[in-house]
Amino acid sequence: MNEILTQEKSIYLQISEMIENDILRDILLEEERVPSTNELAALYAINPATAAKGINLLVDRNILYKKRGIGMFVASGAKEKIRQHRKEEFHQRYFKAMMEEAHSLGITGEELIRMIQAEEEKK
Amino acid sequence: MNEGLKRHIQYISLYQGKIFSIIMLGSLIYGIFLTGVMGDSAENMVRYFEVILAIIPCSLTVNYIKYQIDLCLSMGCTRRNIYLSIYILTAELIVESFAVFLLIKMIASASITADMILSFVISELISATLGVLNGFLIRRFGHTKMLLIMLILYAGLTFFALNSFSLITGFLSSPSSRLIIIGGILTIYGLTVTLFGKRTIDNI
Amino acid sequence: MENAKGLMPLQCKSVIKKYKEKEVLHDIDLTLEPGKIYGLIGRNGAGKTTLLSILAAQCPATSGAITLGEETVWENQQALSHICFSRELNPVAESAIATMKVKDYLKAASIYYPHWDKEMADRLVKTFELEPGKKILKLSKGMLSMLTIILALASKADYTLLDEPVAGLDVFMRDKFYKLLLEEYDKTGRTFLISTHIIDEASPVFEEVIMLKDGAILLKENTEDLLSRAIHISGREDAVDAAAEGFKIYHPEKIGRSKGITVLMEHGREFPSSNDLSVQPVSLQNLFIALCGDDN
Repeated sequence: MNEILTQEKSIYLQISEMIENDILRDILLEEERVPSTNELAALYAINPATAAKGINLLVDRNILYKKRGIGMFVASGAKEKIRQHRKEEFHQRYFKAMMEEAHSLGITGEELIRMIQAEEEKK
Repeated sequence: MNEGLKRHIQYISLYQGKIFSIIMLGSLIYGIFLTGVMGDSAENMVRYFEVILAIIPCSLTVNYIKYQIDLCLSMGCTRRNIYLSIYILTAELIVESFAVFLLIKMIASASITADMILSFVISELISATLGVLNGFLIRRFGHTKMLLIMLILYAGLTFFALNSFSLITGFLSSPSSRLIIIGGILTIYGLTVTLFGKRTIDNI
Repeated sequence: MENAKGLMPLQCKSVIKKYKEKEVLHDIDLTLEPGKIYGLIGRNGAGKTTLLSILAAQCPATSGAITLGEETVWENQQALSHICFSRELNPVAESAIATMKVKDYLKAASIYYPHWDKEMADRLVKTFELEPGKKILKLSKGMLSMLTIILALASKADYTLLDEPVAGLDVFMRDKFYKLLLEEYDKTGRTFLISTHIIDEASPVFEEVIMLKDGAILLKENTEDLLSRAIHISGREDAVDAAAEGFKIYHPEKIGRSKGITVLMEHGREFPSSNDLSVQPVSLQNLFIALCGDDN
């Protein structure tokens, strides 16, 4: 929470990503209550329908679930699910873009491998 | 009476009552002052006051139409309710002014004749008609153009009111002519509101 | 039946408005569904205020009708009691508003609006630090805006139309307005239609946006959906032109060999990424500029 919204991406996607980030960072724990649609809308000054869209996206992915009359909760196993999903997205999101950028700069595959190895050695 | 009209009358009465009292108080002071300055008799002071009473419907109606209608419309009042309220406003004003007129006469210990009452009511109706007419014409043609006409009309009205007794007693020698005159004034009044009112309000 | 009216849509059906011979609104068909916050954007002179006026039956349409559910709104006191039109107060010297005090204006509102919330009005007057005894003529532009906001919120009308409510407000007060609006929306689910020039700031609050161009509705769409299909493509002119083949192009800008264009895709389409091109999302303001600018 408390990240700033940007114009770069749909607001509802940003909302769902923010919640996912918080789950990964143990800011929101499994089986804990998540701020409601209206609380999110008030916090970010956005339309509640947009906040709801973001939350529903996570409900559809079984990251969150609804307890009737009480609110939205983080599902057990959510953290692992998110990590898995992001791993799958990694290729599309970061790897592909990195490859394209490297290609346009004329950085070869070998140079990339050397870069990765150097980073690993630092650790 | 529909809900909207009730609410509208409530608002108009609020505003009207305030201004009516201010005019009354003001004219009372004015009358007393003039009497003192001119060394006039109490009877003339009463006359001044009556003239003002006769002008009140005109000025209040002009004010209502010129100033208040925009506000009322902006808050969701229908045009129909505005037309209706003009009739109701005028009736209210005439009754209120009339009550004050009787009170003044009684205080001045003047005898109240039927002719006197009739002439007062007629001058009130004329005043209201002029108020409606002027109010709408000012909205349509602007303040400056109408100022001159208003001055002439007010002067005429004052003259008429001051001399109404003798003039009207002459006209109203018979009941039938009285009825004709009253009917005529009411018709003119009704037509004025309907004709001018509709065209002006619709063009806001 | 009384409350059900609040759940009926407010519609424009084939509305045309002419001033003398000039047609300023052309065949407007618009449906406002209850319980949403709508944004109305358009250039000065596009017809926003006229449209809002007609919707609130404060100005007659030349032809066409405004309906609330089954009934027409024009001269319909019942229907009108569900609508509040809060416009920029312009205290012209010869209007009643000029000499009225803030508290008198609010008192008038409390009489005309059947669901007026006096407690809310008083609270907002304090929040905005308005002096109740001050004459409206003496209020600054910002204070006038605050008064129109108080009128709109405290009216508790089912359909509340606001014409440029944030004109003259500084960034803090604008922020406060959006928060108050969302708070009220959360509590009551009232329908709001808000016209504004401060587009990007307000767009997250709008569930749907209506764009008015030259007196006609250019689009009416869910804000998020609209923005998801708007993109800005830039790069070398030939690459941009090749990639944009088949799409409708808006607002082309060129400098040297580079070119930038805005494209509105159909729903669900994705624009293929490429090394030679920068493909970026477009904010609502920039989309508006692209669609309603002079170069179309």
